[in-house]
Amino acid sequence: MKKSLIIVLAIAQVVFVTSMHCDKCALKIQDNVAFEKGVKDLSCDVESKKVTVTFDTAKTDTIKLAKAIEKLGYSAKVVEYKEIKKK
Amino acid sequence: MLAIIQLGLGAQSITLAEQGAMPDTTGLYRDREDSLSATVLSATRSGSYLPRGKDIRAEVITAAGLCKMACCNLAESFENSASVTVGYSDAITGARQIRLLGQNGIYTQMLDENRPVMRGLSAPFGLNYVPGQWLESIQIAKGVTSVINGVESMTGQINMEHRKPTDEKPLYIQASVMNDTKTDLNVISSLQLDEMEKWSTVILGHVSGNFEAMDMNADGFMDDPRQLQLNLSNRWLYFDPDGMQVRFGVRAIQDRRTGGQMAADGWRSDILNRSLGAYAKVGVPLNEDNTRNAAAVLDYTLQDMDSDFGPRVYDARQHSAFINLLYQDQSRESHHFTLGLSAMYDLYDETFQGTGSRTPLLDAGAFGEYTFRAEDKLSVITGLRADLFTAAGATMPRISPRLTVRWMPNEAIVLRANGGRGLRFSTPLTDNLGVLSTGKLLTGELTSHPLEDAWTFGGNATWYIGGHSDHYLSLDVFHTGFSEQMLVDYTDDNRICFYTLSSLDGGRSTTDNLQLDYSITPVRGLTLTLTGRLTDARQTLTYQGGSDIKPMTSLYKGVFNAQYATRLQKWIFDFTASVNGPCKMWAFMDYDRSPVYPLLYAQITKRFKGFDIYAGGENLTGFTQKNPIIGADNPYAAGFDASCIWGPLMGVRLYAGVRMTIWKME
Repeated sequence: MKKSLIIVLAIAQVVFVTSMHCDKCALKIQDNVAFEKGVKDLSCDVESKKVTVTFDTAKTDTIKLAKAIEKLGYSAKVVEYKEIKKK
Repeated sequence: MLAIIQLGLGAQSITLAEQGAMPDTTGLYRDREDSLSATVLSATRSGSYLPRGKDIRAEVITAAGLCKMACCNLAESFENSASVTVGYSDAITGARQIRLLGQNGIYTQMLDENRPVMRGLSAPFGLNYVPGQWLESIQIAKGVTSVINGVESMTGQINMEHRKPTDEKPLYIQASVMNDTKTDLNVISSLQLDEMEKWSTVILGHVSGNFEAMDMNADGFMDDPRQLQLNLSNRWLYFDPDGMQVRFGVRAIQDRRTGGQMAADGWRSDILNRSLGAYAKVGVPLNEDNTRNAAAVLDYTLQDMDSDFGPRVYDARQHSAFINLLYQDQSRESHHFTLGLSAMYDLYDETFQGTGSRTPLLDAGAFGEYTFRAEDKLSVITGLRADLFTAAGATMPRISPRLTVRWMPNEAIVLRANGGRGLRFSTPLTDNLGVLSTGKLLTGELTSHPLEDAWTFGGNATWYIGGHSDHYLSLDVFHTGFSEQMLVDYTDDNRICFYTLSSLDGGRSTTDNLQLDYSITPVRGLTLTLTGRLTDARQTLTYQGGSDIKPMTSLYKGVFNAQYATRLQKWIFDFTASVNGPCKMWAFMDYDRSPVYPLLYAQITKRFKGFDIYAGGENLTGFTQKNPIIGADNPYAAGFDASCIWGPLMGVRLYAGVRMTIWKME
């Protein structure tokens, strides 16, 4: 029997709280995570330690994005997730 | 508290962290209650800005700003700024000089992470020896600043922050080439050597060259000298979590340049510059929360220059030593004190046209600085130095007071005022190296070292529109007046005369400057800045036909800069246009004023993960100074003069480059 797989295509936004502590950390995250597949937008706020990533759910997910931040030497915990646009 | 000690930095001193340019919390700076906190990343990409929290009016050119143009070296890093004007010293050597507040760059104190640098013999080519890619930011402070690093700053301070040992970039490589064969290569490695990151180091290497001489204006002379520069620096940081920290480093430079006529047997200028330097900074906390601390700063530089300009030979060597001992008390919230002792010693060995001389110059002083702060609203900084200046066996005691007031009545308005005295020994030949690129007779007090003496007063009002740090309107007004100064007077076709201001009856030397800056980010990613400067420079000179308008000083400059970066900054577009006002010419020249001329710069950057490629153009209008060398057909005659430069010497230049970064990973 042929199985059908339904993928919901969307643009989503996730907010990570990270262990970054200065502008240089923010720049490191920007210069690397911005080039992860599927990332559409990115902003970092040093004071709140939050990294907000807008991404294409068909190309990446929050786990991959968290790993991309952790690979740079920072912890990353999802505190907010929302779909902002259905494809 | 993350940061422990402020090494030799006064409250007015412009530190990177305080500026908020790129705070590095792993490092050495104090807590940044006055920095631009809560910085969002888009702000860190801004090319330049006026920080709200600084006591003194300062303009920060960030690493992003240094990537807007070729910015091969420090001299080329100010094209976006109306505050600083950069010009050639002459049409032979490629040496650059800056002007701030309408005065020669010798009256601006250059600092390398708050250590005085580029003094004396190091000054004429110093701007060419700081690779732009070595820098993390530049801060330009106008007016008189802290007394902690001496009082040589008369019109302002330019502080350079280099890439840090704590940067998480084990490898950074930049290479660029221009269509005239000028080539640059920079390799930088920042390494943290242990788990606790107590020890870290940065190695900075630079090679640049200009391999092919061009003569685009067909005057028989090279437009830019053939040149090869090797530049190596190693900086270390030891940071103890208990508070003690040590920074030290070494640096070596060799630069050889050959300019002059294209013909192999023609008039030539050969210059070999070599420099060795070392420094150390030590900071020790004196109480648990480090609100009381002591610091020592030591610096030594050996600068050696062998040069000939046709038949003129100038060989010189300078030993330069600096020591600064400080005690800081910031234990009370509103009342901070800094006390210290410092000494600056320079020994010059010079041989000019076969005549040798040895000149020791010493400035030993004691200083104190008191800062009153009423939260973020008001700060008042009073500084006082007592110095003994010693030259040629004569000792001259001088007192130098300085005052800075900053008032922020609300979040949107910052008002500043400052004023005080500046003093420095004149070194006539090295301060005016361009005169060697002439056939003229040099007369007067060429070998004396008068103590130049100036007072600068000024103010600044900045309105951060809507309270936004990236939307502001700023107005500066500054006045500088000399009571003693070494004057250089081009008397006629055949002679240049050196004499002091005090030797003239009723002589005066003043500059008044007015500058307006406007910056706006109308949509995300687009930053527009518009700045304009007016300068009224007056100087009494005996041979300039009765006019006291200072020659070779532009009356105004306007700069427009636009930068657009796409959402993830994968594409960045930069455009800069400037209009440069006229200068009054020397009386002996065959025209009275230089023309108004435009300059255009543009660059496109494409960013990939780990590397950027960029391409751009300089002086896209192609405007150049016509006949920059007077008497080019007979360089051995007294009328030969390659030092009367007011405009660009090089036409359109195109360049392309690549920057590669390897980041430290977990």
